[in-house]
Amino acid sequence: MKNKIVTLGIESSCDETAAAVVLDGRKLLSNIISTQIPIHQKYGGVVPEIASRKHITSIMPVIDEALCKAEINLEHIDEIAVTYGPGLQGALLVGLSAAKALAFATDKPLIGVNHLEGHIFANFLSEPSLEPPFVSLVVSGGHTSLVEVEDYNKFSLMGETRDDAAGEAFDKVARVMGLPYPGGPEIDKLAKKGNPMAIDFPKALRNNGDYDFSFSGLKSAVLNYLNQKKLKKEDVNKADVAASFQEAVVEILTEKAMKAMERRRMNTLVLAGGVAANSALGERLKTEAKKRNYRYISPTLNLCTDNAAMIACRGYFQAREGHYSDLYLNAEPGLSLVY
Amino acid sequence: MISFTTNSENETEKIAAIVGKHIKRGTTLALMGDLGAGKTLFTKHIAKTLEVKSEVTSPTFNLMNVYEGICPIYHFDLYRLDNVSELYDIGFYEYVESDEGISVIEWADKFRSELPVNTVNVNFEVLDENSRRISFSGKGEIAEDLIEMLGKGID
Amino acid sequence: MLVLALETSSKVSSVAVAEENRLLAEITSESKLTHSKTLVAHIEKVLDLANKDKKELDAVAVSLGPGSFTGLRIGLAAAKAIAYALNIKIYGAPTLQSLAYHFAVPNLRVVSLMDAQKGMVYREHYKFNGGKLQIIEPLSVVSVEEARREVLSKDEDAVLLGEKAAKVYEGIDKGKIFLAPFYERMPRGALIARYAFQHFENEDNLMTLEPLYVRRSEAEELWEKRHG
Repeated sequence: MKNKIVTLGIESSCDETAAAVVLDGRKLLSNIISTQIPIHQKYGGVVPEIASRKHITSIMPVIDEALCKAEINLEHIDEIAVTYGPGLQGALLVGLSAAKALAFATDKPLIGVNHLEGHIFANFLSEPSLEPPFVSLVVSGGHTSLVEVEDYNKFSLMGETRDDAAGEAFDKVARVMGLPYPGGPEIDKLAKKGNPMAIDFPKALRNNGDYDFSFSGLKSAVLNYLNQKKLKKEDVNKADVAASFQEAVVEILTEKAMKAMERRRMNTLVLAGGVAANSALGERLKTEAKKRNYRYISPTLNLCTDNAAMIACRGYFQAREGHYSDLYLNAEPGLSLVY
Repeated sequence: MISFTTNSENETEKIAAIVGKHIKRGTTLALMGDLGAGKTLFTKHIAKTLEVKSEVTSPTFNLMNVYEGICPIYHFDLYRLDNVSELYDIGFYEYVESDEGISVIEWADKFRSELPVNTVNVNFEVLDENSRRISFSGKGEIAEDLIEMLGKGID
Repeated sequence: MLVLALETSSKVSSVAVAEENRLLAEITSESKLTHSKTLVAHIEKVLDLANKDKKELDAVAVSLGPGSFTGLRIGLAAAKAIAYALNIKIYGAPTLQSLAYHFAVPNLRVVSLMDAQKGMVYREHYKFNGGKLQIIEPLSVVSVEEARREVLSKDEDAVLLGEKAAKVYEGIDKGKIFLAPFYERMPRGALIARYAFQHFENEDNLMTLEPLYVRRSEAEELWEKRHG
């Protein structure tokens, strides 16, 4: 029985301030990200040093724009979903504070959403026909996990990283190689010109029988390789290093994802998180899934990076099960996927 | 100044436990060492000793985590920061100068001049795959007291 | 005019409901470092204590800084959202100036001193003329010693306010300098409301209102240098 529920989503966990309006959990009425609105034009786009100051400036314009684009007013909103973690504390608190105050002022219920779950749910917006159950590989800057999504509010964590997240490994290797931040897209770009088979970097925990990951060994291996070359005064083919490193990450992520799919007898694999934008990973997962006749879903680009639509979507489903938050909801920067 | 050579995670855990047991509120621990040297692991064990129930993870991405134990623990990772202005922005000084909890800062060497005077420096040196040399140093009473406790604790 | 006032610029968290000549209710507490858990809950409570419905509010006033960046953002985000949702005016009240209203008396140098970390303080000096606040030493960041030296050098009756007042007062040989008692030198929602009433013609824009950082990010300074 559809009731026409309108969810306002608010997201400020990292670099983007975002707001969105979603109807009945799946229909996107608006999806606004602060970089779309020229508030800080004066500084020529995002100036990373003051990114966390940007949130307090952008929060109301972004919410207002989201409502305008959806052609509704606050009074038409039924509930307010907001990211409470993980992320940067100073950033999270802006969206959270605004959301709580809005909930109080409008007497609408508040729903605290886990940003990582939001990434998984971005796929429900990208792909209208998608329904649970499925396995999701979540790869973001700070997290790498394999989650079995049994139902809209029922998850189990199959495996996660024991040390560095994949995104973190990308950033650290990029930094050591002298590439700018963020490292993921830079390595992705550079790797296209290199040979992924040039160097055989280790793929940890490959055959240990579970679905956990470990990337700190890989990171150390790349570091050692670069150091050795430097000591011997030998030239380094950066493109080859990037390609080989990326290959090691992509291979282990794909292998474990396929194993998980088989184990849980699933036929749909869903990719989630900011690293989902990595082309090599997407390609490999798509290819391997196809080989095994699995359905493979990944979010469209605008829903891949941080956004509030995915938060509204996740919030909607949480609310249907009665998982609301009270006005004491606090930011949890270190929140992860624990079930 | 005092140094320990550890050959396993277990041994590192023992040292962290002593730190956790004797550390006073308002203390700042500056953890320094290369990628993979064990800074986050060390922090995990200190947090455990201080009865933190929640997960302790590397705040490389979110810059700061706060854990509630016997006292609050402010866990920073300055790896991604480049400017002092960013420290102001995340409220770094407010937490570090607070006498309520303890601050544990990974990659503290990036901003040595911004650390409080009585910071306890903890240096992690990688000797080989499983071995580390962990050295404690620092000026002032807080550092000296802690180093003394460490000296007594391990024998 | 019924005003909801928020003060979250320091460890003291305070919310008040006030009319021009009446403080209806206020909740003030010295809390832990983040107000994030309690602010909105306190807003709800204080309106309840004041026996007023949120729909009766005409304006929201908020402490603007300088102070704790985190605290300021929490307060400002909440204030903006409330102003937006209830379609009411918003007033940004500079923190140090608002503090001065503790001692809105003639012939007295009023000095506000708030923590700027690393042994520094935000400081500003005022005098009240015919009840109107006048800034006689504009806001800047100085060391505790400098703030102390400055106050002594003025050789006038002066009162010290703010969370750093006691620190600056240490070692001063009393004389003409007076340290306000703790309840008369702390930030309070009532003072933010007072500031708003004193400046009710100058309402702010909730879309663009920003905290007063004072300590500017190097980036801004660099940008300004490059663009002249």
